[in-house]
Amino acid sequence: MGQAILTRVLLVIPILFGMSVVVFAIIRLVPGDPVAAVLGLNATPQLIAQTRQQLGLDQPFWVQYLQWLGGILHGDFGRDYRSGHPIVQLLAQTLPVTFELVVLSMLIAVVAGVGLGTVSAVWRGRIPDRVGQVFSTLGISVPDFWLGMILILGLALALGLFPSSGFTPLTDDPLDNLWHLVLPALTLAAGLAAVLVRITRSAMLDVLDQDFLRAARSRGLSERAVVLSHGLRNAAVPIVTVIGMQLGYLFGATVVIENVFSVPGLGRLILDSTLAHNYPVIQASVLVLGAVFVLTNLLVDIAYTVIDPRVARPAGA
Amino acid sequence: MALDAAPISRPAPRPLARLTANLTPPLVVGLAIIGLVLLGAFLIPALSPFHADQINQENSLAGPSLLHPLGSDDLGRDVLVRVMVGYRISLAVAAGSVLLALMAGLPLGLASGYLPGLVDNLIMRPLDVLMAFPAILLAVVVMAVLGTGTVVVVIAIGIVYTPIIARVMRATTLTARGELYVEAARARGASALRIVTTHILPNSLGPVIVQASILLGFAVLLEAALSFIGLGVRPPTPSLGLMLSTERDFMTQAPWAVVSPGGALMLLVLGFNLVGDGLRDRLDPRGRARVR
Repeated sequence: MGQAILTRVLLVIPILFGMSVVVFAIIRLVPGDPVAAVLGLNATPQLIAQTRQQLGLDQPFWVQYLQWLGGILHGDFGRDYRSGHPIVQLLAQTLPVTFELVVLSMLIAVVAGVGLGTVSAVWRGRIPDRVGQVFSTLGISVPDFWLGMILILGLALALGLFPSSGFTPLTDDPLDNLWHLVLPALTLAAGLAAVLVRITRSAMLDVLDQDFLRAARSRGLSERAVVLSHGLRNAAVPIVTVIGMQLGYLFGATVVIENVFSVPGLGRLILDSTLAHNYPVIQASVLVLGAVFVLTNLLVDIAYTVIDPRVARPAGA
Repeated sequence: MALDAAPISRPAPRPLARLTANLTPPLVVGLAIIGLVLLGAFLIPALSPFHADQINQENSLAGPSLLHPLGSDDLGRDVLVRVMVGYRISLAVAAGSVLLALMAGLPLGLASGYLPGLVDNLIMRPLDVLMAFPAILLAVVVMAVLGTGTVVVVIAIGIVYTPIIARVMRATTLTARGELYVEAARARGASALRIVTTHILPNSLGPVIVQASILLGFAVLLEAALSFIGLGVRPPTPSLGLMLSTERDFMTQAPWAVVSPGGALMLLVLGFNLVGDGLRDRLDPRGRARVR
């Protein structure tokens, strides 16, 4: 198992490397003068020349790339030329917010999706199963940002149950923080929960008829124990796989959902910097969000090896 | 025995023939939804007395009525006509981007599946990197470079989907390579290009069609999301995502102007998803085309 995990870890390195090349290329591929765009309206020819030199744009591509990458490996993402702040400061403010949002939605999606999927499988063909199918079909098709708006309209503006936007830092007031994140997290979770209902249902249906479950039942275990401890555990592999596959979707969707709910996270930073053509910030934030996704995916894969040791063994062994 | 004396297997009947023979309920419902959307998108704007960009300040944020069945927006424009014209943009962007991904992804997938080793690595490793980005993020990267606008959205989504199509095509090509009919063609001295285009491609289309139909639905969502956050289609083009973003400022006064474009989006995506599900059961029972 150790070797399988090591191989998986090593495979991540070229992916991260490639990602950094793609992200670095952004500023070089922009038509026109990126420096003028970065500086915005208050760009003077002198300032442009100075920034060009600071950015190292007067040097060959690979020198620029190595300097940039070297800086990042030392935690230096450069400076935001608009606000004058170091970019790493912006990242440190926004990344934890996005991470919290994604973890929260993941929790909601897993509890709701796996729960409803299990219920659907156990009561196959009956009303709970129908409910599960309708939920999953609609949940996969619903545009998440629109769902967010509908939740704001219904739960925040009409009923006043939750705030419609804004954010309180976790360290200031944990309860208020959670309060503000409920609607964005529900919005993000819906799509993933819908996919999980489907996968859990079909994985559980595969497992429920198998001999070892019949054996557990004949040993006198309650149906509840059979389903929860024997059934779900053996259905876990496809469920975890899908969670891993969908993680990227959650991270990506924060770009849109944080905008709907005015959550000051990394997704919002990416969108704001893109709309403002603030290239150094775009590069840093996209690279960090991409890398966080790749690394969490790696963790899911490792979890997968732990849950099902068969994955780690070479085929046929 | 000479090889060409043996019946050369053309294993599967053609996808279209199988399709009509096996219409499942999700497929029928999905096709019906898409058919209705197409019909509405082309007939309603033509028959309606209103134009999608026709501003009528006196009618601003008016509720649903006989004249305006879905109400009107902040500028008094008819929401129904705008939603239907928005459908045209959604469909055009989805079709265009998936077509682009097919044009780029199919040759790449065929080449890397048929030529393992160096060629395979040269093609697939960069595509792996592109696939490592969450879809929206990669689209944002493309738009950061190319700017916004309908054509750029098509290119961005096309680039996001190219590695997905290439991967499915590569997987089916790898399987097909070892099949008897390919060996037979090779033994008859057919060139690699001929084998790939006339033997492997037609026989691998099932999973590709399934994947493409699923991607159409996601492309509709992705275009709407990009336009919603201001990186996609530019106003005054009535994209559904763009409508949601402008009307959200008025959503307490005029919920209909927000509910209908979103509901319309969901219906179209539902149609594509049902078709994707129905096709998968028929064309790709082994599940080689995966969701996302």
